[in-house]
Amino acid sequence: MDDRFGDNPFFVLELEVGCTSMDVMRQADKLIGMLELGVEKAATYPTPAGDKPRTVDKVRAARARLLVPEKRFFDEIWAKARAVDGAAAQAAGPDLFGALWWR
Amino acid sequence: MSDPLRYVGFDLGTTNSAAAFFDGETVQVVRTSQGGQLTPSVVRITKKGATSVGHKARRFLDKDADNTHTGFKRLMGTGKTLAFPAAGLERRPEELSAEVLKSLIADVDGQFGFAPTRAVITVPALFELPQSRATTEAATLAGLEAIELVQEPVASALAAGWTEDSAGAWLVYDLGGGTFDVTLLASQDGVLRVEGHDGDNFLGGRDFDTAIVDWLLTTLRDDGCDVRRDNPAHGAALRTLAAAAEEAKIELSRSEQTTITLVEPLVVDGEEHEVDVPLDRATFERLVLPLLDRSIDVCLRLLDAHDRRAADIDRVVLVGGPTMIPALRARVQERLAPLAEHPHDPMTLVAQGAALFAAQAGLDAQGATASLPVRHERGHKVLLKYPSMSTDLSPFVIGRVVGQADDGARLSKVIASRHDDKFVSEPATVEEDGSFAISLELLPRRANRFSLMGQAEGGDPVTVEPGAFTIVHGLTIGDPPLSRSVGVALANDRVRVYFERGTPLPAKRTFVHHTVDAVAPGEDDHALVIPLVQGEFDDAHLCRLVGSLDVPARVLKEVLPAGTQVEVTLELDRGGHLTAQAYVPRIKEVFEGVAQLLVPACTPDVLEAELRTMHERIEALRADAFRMRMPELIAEIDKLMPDLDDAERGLDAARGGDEETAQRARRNLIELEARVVQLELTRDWPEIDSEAVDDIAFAASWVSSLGTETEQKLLDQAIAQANRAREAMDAGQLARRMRRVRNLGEAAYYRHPESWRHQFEFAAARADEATDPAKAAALVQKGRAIIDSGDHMALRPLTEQLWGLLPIDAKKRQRSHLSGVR
Repeated sequence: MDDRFGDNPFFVLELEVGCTSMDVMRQADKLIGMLELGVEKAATYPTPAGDKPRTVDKVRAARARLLVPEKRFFDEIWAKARAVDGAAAQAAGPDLFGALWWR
Repeated sequence: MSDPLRYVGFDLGTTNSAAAFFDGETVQVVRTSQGGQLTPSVVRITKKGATSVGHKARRFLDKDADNTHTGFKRLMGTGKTLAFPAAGLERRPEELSAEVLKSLIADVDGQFGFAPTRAVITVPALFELPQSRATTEAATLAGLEAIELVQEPVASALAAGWTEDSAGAWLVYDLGGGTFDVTLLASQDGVLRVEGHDGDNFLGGRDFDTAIVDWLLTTLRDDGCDVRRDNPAHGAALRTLAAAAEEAKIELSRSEQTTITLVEPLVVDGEEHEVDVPLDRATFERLVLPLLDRSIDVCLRLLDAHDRRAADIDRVVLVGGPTMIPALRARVQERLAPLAEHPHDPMTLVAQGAALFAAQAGLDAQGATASLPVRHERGHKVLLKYPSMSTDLSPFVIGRVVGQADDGARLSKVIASRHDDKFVSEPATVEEDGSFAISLELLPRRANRFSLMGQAEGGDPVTVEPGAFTIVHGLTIGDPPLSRSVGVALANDRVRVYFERGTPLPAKRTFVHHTVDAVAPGEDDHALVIPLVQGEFDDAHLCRLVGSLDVPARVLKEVLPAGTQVEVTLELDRGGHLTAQAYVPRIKEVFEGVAQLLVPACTPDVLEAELRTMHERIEALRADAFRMRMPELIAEIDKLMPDLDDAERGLDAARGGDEETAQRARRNLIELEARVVQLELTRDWPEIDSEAVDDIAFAASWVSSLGTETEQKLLDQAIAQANRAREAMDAGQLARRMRRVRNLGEAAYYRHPESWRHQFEFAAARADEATDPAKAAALVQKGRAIIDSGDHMALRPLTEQLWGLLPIDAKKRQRSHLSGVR
């Protein structure tokens, strides 16, 4: 199941909420390059709930989401919320967003 | 120095095809052997089996129509063959497209001295998965070793964006011979992003010709020449007039007046009539104005769906022959937005964009791959990763040492210098694991070539292999977006969406399904059917069936009971090719590679039955509209009728063996059904609106009491969007918006300790209907025990199992492509 909190694009790319689209592109290209070359320090990223594995697919998905303003808006809310209710969101996140994929 | 950059793109069109070449700085359209830029997508095979392509073949379209074919792009992926009776041969559309590609490859070779083996090919934005797969097959048959597909509007926008400032919102207005497509794109920081598509499959340049012909028929009738569309004996005369109308249309794009003249007299009912009719541009413009406005209405509908107005659009890029009509260009500017500043050739823009996309994809035309280490006797061997084309003026190159130099000196630092000597990077430290990252600076809109030089630990220079690489700066596009949502049709006629429209490709997802019935070993090849569908509708039958993942009974060694878990994984690559896999944990078996991707067959019987149903639904809708006194709905229903007539003509064509027209009719019928569904929703609006209000109240109540602060924010926004759809009385939009409202409400509701007890009681009340009553009874008994223990949340998995045993309505399952999973 997707972890919509832990896979927040800002976490995956290790970028701040105020970053520009260009920052997103540059960071994603850099991380993809590192992952494809097997550079170990790119293999995980920190989240409030601990380190998570980073993959090329995750980086690409994160890049795509942050380039769409409407999607980025939601991710910003979650990324900003990490300091306030990180644990609660982590608990609610997978269930809640798993449900959001239904139609 | 390594080889120069060579990128090739092909526009494999329905009527004409073209190729373009990009060297990192300039895009050139490839000249054909005839000296032009377009290759007609026409193939002829003679009695002796000789194949001719392009202009040479087109000359025989009238003279030797049986052995000369065009328009086969529309049949790609259908599995149909086209006959060449003189040679006694049959060819699939993929094979004919391959002949066109071979001709384009030969043209590239003729002009640039090499035959590309890797290239980008464009496909329509709304191509279905089987059609994309067929395009790839055509490329393979033509000898291409690696290809990427890119959507035509994306290619057009890339080409237009290459030559002008690209920031802002764009529309690509693509009017072809028979279809109209419009794409909304947004460009920010040099990155292009597709926001949405729309189109009209009933609108194209041929409709302009038809408008002229209709006018011409009236004019000729006044002169005593009575040609009638409903008289089959007048077919040849109508075709002659249509060809003359097309010529007049093209002529009026250049001059104010023309004369429609036929070389030979028109023969009607045995009588000869001279045709010599003047037509001025003003009359022509009056004739086609409703068609122009229809296309612009589609554009406005697309903008509206994305909460934008015409004023938000910065420019419009025109593509397709009919866009050269001055009145069209003026109308687009008047009602939409300014045209792109630079003059673009609407006939070759797509091919140019394909060549640019090849650069972004790093698809060198002859397979040079800069990221692989070059074998060399000396120097440190490194692997490099960098974007072959970048919007960013300061990209990174990432490297990793994979082999030490012969002298054994350890590589300590790496430096990159640009070939104009005006940029030298900071020395990048080689880490313990051999990796390094260098920040570069690019010159805008140029192919930027860099040299790499290493330093040993003492600072001595050492060679690095490869010692050079190139990055082109320019407009790029994010990962190609999926044009239509893809999912699995469920037995209850709903869709489990795996990839939403716009999902960046490649993509991969897994969901767990459960079998509806028990599946027994035997001889049945389709014991368990998992239909794969494409489309934007909640109802599976409204989506297009594009393949099916089948589990054959003969491979089963034991019975799979109803409710058996099946993990389905769908994967799409960048070109939109779909692979599917089903894993059944109970028997630890994987079923894969069985997705049969074909555009469904289109027999006259199927078409006729679908048409009959459509007539019945429309008449029922009309009766309701009269009864409910809804004049606006009646007007909308009337607008369906010309398209229904068009589908009738498609049925006639299907009976006559014209597969191309029949396939078009099939697609149009599906789209017509979608429009009928929308009108049915309008009819049912009071009920839908009332249900939405109830659901909003449900969600608001539960989220306010059991939701998080973040969920409350999300809900507020979702409700605001739903209310906008309610104000606009847009049932389709409301349905989409309400999904999020309901999901948020349900997420909060299920946190209530009693929620699963209620759900359990609902399911338990229907236990006697279960497909496996004994198992259902056992689950109910177990559930009661859990309730007694007070641990209501433990009811969740049990209730879900119970739901899985409740029967699916057989009629729904039939409509849902016979899906065997829920």
